[in-house]
Amino acid sequence: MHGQALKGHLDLLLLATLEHEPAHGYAVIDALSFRTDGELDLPEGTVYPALHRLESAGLLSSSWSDSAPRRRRVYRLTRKGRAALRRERQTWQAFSRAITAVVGPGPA
Amino acid sequence: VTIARYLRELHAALVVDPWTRRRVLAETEDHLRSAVEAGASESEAVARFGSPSALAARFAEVYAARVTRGTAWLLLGLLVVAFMTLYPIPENTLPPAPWPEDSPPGHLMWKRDLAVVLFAVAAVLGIAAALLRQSVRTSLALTGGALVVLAATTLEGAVLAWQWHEAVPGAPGPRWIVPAAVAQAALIACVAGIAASAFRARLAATNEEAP
Repeated sequence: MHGQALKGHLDLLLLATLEHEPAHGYAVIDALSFRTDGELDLPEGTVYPALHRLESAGLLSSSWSDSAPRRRRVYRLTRKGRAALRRERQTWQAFSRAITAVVGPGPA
Repeated sequence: VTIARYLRELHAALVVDPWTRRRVLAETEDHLRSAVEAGASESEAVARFGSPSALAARFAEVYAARVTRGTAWLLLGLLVVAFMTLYPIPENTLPPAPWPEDSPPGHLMWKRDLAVVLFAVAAVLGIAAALLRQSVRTSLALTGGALVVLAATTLEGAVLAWQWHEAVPGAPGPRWIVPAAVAQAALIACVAGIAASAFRARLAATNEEAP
């Protein structure tokens, strides 16, 4: 999917990916690709700075995990992040409904 | 490009503090090694990250925003310290000054008023930098302005305190004025140094056109 189309939705995607369990950056990108059948194959150079930005904003927290062969930075949602996810999700759903109402399913 | 070379170039391009640099490099290396373990070649894994300078610019943008916010809050703390050092200088905490006809010398009064005005300007700029939502560039400009005015306040306040000491028996003397002025100047320099690192990061983020 074109990167421009994702602009503005990256935060929502990352927060939603981390909603149910903490994950490191590689797993986040992998999950996004897997859950969308490869449609959302985000470049790492975009995802990692975004994870850092969300952490700076207090929406994520992170810590080192030593369980893997190498040290890994594991990200998890904070309470503020969950609240932001709820808001962003509602906004997205309203936006999505509005666009679908106009665009429609297309000719059969 | 091998992973080792990519990490070397990224290390050189990053304009962040040493802790963030170590973290970014460790995360990047872990990701690249994981990708190789999953079957990608080193050059394929590296290509997905984009050029080291573009990646560094994105981190610089995040870092600049974070450090700018932190600097603005440090500045507020500095203003409190400056207020505490300025406060004893005027008559507030001194015994009644023996001015002839209860009228303090004019050269002390206008300097005191100037110190108060300068401090007020620095405070307004500092509070605006910390509390208003604005771009990194605006916040850094406000912070820089506040620091310059605060430095002027410190210098002018030190001169005033010295002259006050000469005019008012019992007023704090060099033993108090010099350490206070030096400590305040050192704190201003520290905060200015942190603000400068945010500025450098902002510059690095702006100069590099991320893909």
